[in-house]
Amino acid sequence: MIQLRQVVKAFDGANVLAGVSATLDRGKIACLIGPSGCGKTTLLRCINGLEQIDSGAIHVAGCDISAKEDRPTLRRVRQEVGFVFQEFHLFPHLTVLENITLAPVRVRLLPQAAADKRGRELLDLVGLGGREGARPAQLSGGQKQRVAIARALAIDVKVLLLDEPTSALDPEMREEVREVLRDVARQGLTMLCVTHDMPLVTSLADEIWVFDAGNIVERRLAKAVP
Amino acid sequence: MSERWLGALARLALPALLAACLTLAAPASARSLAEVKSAGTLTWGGDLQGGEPYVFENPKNHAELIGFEVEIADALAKRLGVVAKFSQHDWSTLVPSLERGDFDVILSGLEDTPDRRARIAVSSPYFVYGLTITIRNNSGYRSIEALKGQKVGTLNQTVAHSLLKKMPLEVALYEGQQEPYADLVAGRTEAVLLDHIIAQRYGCNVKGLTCLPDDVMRGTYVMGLRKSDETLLVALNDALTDMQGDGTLRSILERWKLWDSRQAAPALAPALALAEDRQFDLGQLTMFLKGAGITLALSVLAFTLASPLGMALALMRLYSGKIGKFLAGAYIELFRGTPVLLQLYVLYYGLAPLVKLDAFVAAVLGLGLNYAAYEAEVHRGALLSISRGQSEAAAALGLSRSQTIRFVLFPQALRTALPAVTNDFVALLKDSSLVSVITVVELTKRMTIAAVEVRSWLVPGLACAALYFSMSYPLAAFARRLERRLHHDPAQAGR
Ligand SMILES: Nc1ncnc2c1ncn2[C@@H]1O[C@H](COP(=O)(O)OP(=O)(O)O)[C@@H](O)[C@H]1O
Ligand SMILES: [Mg+2]
Repeated sequence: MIQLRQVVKAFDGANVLAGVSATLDRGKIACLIGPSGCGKTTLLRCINGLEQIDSGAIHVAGCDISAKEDRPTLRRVRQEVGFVFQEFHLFPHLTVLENITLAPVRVRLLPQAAADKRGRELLDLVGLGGREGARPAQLSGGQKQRVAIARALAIDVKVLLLDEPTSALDPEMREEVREVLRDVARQGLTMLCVTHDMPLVTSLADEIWVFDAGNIVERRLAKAVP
Repeated sequence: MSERWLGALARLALPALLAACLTLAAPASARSLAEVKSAGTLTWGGDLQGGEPYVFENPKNHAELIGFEVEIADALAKRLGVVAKFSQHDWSTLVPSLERGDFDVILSGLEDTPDRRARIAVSSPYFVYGLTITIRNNSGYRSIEALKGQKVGTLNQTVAHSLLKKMPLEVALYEGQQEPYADLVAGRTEAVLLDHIIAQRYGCNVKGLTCLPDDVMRGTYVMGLRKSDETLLVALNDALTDMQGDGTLRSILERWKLWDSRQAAPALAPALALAEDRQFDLGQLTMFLKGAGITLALSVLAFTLASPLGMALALMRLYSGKIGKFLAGAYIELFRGTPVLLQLYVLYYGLAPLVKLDAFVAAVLGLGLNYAAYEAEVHRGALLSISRGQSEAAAALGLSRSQTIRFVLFPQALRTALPAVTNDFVALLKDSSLVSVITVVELTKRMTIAAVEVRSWLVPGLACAALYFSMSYPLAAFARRLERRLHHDPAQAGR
């Protein structure tokens, strides 16, 4: 589902990604760990085209991303690949439900009623049923991240990219997000999750990719979780 | 005589009001003839803005003042055995400045009127003016009576204005000498009534215009002095008589091509009062409320234009192609970089040969186009203040660039901008007084008219301030509340 071939990305002449190659099969979950500043976020951003790669190729959810700028491909990629940010980035002027239904209505062109229905189901999934009218400002950090997850899932993506989804949260809120991610994992999504949250890694990962200095230095299978 | 009314009255009103207040506070300081003689100077007050032929800078030597009033002042001073010294004042503040003791005598085309005589002492006349009607060549009007029901232009606070006010016709008021004739050419008015000096210099020679030969009325220019300075008045009158007797005055006027049959006519009674001795009454208040209504309507309409245009310009400047960015930037810099007064002039007078905009329409357009540039910068700032995460989150969800702007960035920017936008509206409300230069009679203009009629700036000034305040304060309070709410709203953190 995700295939990376010799992906190179440089900022200001310095290679942040130094020829990354890896494969992640459909329905598998990989956790990406590694020291801060080694390029993990950059890799995720390249996979859904928030950054343009300098060379190499990325094959994700049936789309080919190359170093050339290609808007139609980018649009398709973003309909297949969801992204959950460390800092949530909810839209503050919209309600929780509007945050979730914006893309389905405007990008997938779903009727508002159908989008609302699906949105409520997703809110139930992330344990926020009944909060659809709230504004992001009225939510705790954990709740915001759960809304962000629901928002990413709302366009029925095949791949979900998560950038340290629990690290901006107070410790007591992390478990509620882990819980939701475990539920999401059971839906059979392919997920690539950057995280330092060990309980999350152990309960989620099929594979662990260890990243350092712009490359994957080790890939190992996680032990199966009961 | 108000050819001196060049500057926008709006800006003159405040100094005049202050001068009036000062006058109330400090009694006029008298200066006797003996004091003038021992000082060796006769200081005379006038306004360079009145221009040729009264008093103006010599184009060949800007340090030197020339004009027929300069020569009269020099000749008078010589007869007193002193030298004349010029003191520059806005024309509208000459009387209060005289009373305050800034100079000894006003010599500045001051018309002899009963209400001026009530306030200050006036000398014998040194010049006779005739009110002259100017019309378009092809129009059939041959007298003031024939203009019944038509629109006639003149300058504010002139004897011509007080004459027209008594007639059954519509008056258009201007601030400068050239504009009434420009509007006559453009067909916005049917005639102009002004002193013959102005008519001859700015009207009669204009292509397509004709001046009627007969004066509607005659009056005189006199010097103005403090009532307490009796000895000085006598000395100046004697000197003037002397100048008339030995032909000095005539030769000065001839040099400036001002000598005509009018000057030989016998002495005249003071002309029409500028002000009827009126109180600030209910009728005045009604006119003030009407002025406030025009100010409000003008501001609301102008802002209704400025706001969406500003948003469009901000979006263009940030997100459009190279050419769009350049055009939006050029628009903003052009309209911010030049005075709104100039823009109003260009719209109303400059474009008149192409499009004859109605004064109110030109005012709305002028203020609206100008404020759009400021609104554009407010909205641009608000858009730039939104964290990058917002557009990245939208992009990651598959929203296109324009969808991101429309559904994510713009609604947020609008909230951020709202307090600043409200403040700008309050500023516009006050700036709208500038449109009096293109003959719109709004609140401030109404105040200056009333101030002349009741012979005091104080009550009309306070009424005007109260009306502005009652319009702007609720808006300003609303802006503050918005600001507080946005400050307390953690949603602004964008996370
Ligand atoms: N937009 C950018 N411009 C310049 N340098 C960047 C940019 N984004 C990331 N970097 C640099 O790339 C390196 C890797 O960053 P990042 O991918 O965020 O690391 P990680 O997520 O592993 O902590 C860092 O040194 C960072 O400073
Ligand atoms: Mg990171």
